[in-house]
Amino acid sequence: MTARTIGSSVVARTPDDTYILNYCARHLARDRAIRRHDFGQYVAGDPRSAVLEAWRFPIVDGDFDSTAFSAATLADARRDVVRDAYQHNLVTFVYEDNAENPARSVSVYGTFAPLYESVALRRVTDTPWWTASVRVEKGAVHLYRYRIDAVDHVDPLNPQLVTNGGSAWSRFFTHECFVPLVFEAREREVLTKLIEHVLPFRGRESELFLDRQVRSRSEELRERGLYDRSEPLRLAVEVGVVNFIDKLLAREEAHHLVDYRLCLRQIQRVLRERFPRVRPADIPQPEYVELYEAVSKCTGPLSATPKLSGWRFDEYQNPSNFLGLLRRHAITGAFAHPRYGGNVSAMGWRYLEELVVGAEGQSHFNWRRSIEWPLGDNEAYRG
Amino acid sequence: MAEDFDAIVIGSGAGGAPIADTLVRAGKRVLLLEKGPLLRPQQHHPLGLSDFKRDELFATGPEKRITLALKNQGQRYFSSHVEPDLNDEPHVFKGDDGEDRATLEGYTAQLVGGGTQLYGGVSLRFSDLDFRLSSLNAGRPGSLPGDPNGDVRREARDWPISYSDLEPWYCEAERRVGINGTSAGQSKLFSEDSYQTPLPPNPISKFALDGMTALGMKAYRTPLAVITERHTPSGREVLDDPRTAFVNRYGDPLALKSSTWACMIEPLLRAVAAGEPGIGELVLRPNSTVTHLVSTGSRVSGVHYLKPSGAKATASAKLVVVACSAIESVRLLFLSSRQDSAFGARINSSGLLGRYFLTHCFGGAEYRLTSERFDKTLALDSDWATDHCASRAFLEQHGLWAGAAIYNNTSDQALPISLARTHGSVDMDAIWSAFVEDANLTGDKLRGFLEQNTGRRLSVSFMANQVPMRDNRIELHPTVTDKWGRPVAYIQKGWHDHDQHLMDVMAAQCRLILEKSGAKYDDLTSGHVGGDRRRIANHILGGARFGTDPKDSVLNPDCRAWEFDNLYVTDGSFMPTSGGANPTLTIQANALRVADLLRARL
Repeated sequence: MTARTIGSSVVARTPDDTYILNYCARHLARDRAIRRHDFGQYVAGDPRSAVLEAWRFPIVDGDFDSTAFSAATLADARRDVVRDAYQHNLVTFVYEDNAENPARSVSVYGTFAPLYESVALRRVTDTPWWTASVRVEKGAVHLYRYRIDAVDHVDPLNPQLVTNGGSAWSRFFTHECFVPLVFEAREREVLTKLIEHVLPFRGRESELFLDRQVRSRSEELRERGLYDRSEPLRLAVEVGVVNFIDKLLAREEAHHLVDYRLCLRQIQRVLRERFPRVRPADIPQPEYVELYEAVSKCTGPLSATPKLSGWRFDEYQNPSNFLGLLRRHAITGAFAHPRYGGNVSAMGWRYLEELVVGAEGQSHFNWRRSIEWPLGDNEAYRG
Repeated sequence: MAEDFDAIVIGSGAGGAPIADTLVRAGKRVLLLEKGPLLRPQQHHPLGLSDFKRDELFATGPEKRITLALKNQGQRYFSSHVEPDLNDEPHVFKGDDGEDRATLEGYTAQLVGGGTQLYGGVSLRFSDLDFRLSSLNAGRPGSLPGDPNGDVRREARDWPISYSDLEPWYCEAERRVGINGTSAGQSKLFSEDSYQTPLPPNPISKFALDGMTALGMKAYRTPLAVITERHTPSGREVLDDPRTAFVNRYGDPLALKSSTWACMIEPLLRAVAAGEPGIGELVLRPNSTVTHLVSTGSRVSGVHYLKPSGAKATASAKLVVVACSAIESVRLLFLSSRQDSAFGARINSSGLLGRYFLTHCFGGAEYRLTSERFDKTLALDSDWATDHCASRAFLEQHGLWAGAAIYNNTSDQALPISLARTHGSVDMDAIWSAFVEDANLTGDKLRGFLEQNTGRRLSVSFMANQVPMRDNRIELHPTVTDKWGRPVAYIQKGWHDHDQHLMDVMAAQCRLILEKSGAKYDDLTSGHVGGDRRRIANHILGGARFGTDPKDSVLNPDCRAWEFDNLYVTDGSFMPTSGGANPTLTIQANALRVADLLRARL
């Protein structure tokens, strides 16, 4: 593996061919005539539906600055270095060549590099794949394009496409990203309220827990010298979970974006009928509990109650189906590794840790022991 | 142009890696082909970070949906990051209703190291009786429960090797793999005990031990393929306490779990690179899918495979070893037969290729402690096991044809997402479904669910022989193809009525262990897979059984295909009966036995 500096700050790494081929062989190599991976996330005929999990491209992986790490000698110094070594992701672009008309040169440029400076892709020997890897700060969203023989193209693999300045760009985001990608502000407000009901963090004891965590967490962060990307969230666990879902729908479970779009529209309509001119965030929480109950019992127009007046069943047939989806996403977001953008500051894990404290004050959910430092306590395993 | 090797080994898991290891260390030149990726622990990774993470979404990923033209089209599934994707390379099974469905059951992780990367590491030997179930049952008076027609007596087979024949290879496997456990308390005879010292058990496991003890069952620490101290044969150090909540279904980022990558392949690559005296050459090609074998007369003359890009390649060797896991090995041999009818005539001269497919009778019991709680995040897969239900006396007392190992599970349900996604559901295909449908599990109720289940659930499992049935079989599916357009494996299997009886008896034993454990508990349940023909336990065995009669077996006692001079099969498909324990150690021991024969041939 080599490292080099491009421009002022973007360091490109070159993972070995095995690393690249591990993804390409599994996800890309195949008979492309068979389109077996479209379960609602693509427009009919999208060639991405022939490949497995096209959302994996570009590959956004952990990054560990081992050059800095090996330079450290003292234990105290090592801690600082380990912390600093986790500031980035390694983003690996893959461009698949056209067999009939192979490219002579491929580069990538975008907002991840200063002045959109382009990074050349290299061809992996004996394959149709070109690749380049760059280190990118965590918590970021970037737009990029390929330049193939001097002509600009969006990434044919990556399903994340956006229009910016009137033209199409490919998009990726890194770990612990808190930039909203799919939900509008009001959608996030409604979702946050529903998730407050779905998740266990809003009972009286849970609120006390959150208060305690505000104090202890800030002390711990200071002690560990942690830069905390999630600071603006002010510990609202549900806001983190909504962010997790936002990222999941932007990437891995894009096929469910339509469920959220349609159902949030119905729910907003139901709420507007009952609370005209009140922002979703200002509607009292008990109303959301009632709404949840009504939606969860409704599997179609025949089981609709007056509480659901405004729900258009021609747009979304089975409201309870949506709540099942939301609950799976919510609990996953609350307890998945914080890299996915939920479980902010490991608040879900801290909650469970405190929930199952034994008589002698020791927790029976010791997540810290196995999770990487500085998020957890484990200094042998790097996350 | 074809490359030429001393041996080509197809598959790098428990059946393949020991062959490559033995032959290369004997100075031979070996090509090791693996369909899946080479995922590396952090100390072997050029980026300094492991491809395996302590991350619940690695074991069970995002939702996908089956798009294949099958009865369960549209059904959601959640696969791990190393299982073959269901839409790309499904296993199709025929259900009770005669309809075909794709299933995650019976999937073996597809990567360098195979199933040993994700397994819990339970590394039990089979019992002496497991090797001679035909002899054992031949002389018994009367009929067995559920077996009025004497199927068991007709279909049981002795292995062509005995426990004592395999015993030195068990010792060798235990040495080379790196296993912690205790031999005291096991009913099997050990000529050598190379177990590493087990770590202190998780305190919750004491209830399993107390239950076993109360019932007069001798218990021992479950042998687990995880190192607890320096392991000289593989040159591994214990970098950290191996006990975490990320055990079964997780690759180990620190290579303390003794996957065949960690215990054999990686050390072998190092030895080759260091130019150790007498060492041969290992060419490891991950991401390479073997499409078919070709033969000239009685010799397999070529191995056709796809490079990572899908480009075609061919290699040849003096010896060819197939070890892709039972279902995929049988599939490969059938696919080769389609390309070349002469190959087909030789490999299936007995008509038994794919037949007598086996898995395990398995099940157990589980409860929830009401007055105590333990930290299950400090765990390996299992702490205590007993051979009590494998003794001849036990079999006679309960009218069973074969016995079972029983052990407790320690690392299950230790993490919050796993608690939710396995809530009320028992298998991979149904994961998340009960949680999704339980609309009441919100707010304080969800808090109660987490509070009542975290660190409080204990389960005890049994693993037992399944009666061999000719109609339990692997074929090629007539219409469903993989991502390369090749027919996929078609699994048709069911349970014998005696299996149902055996599972009832064993599940009751597991239940008794919990009842006698001295704990205060609620929510005690017990059960087994007998009601579901689809269930496979991820132990896939048989389909190319070995034996002494070419009309009654696919392989000879050396695991060589009867009518080929140079074709061997060394994954679990060689087994004529499935053994009363997890199969991996036996696959490894047998592969070492066969490797020794191959070394002598080269």
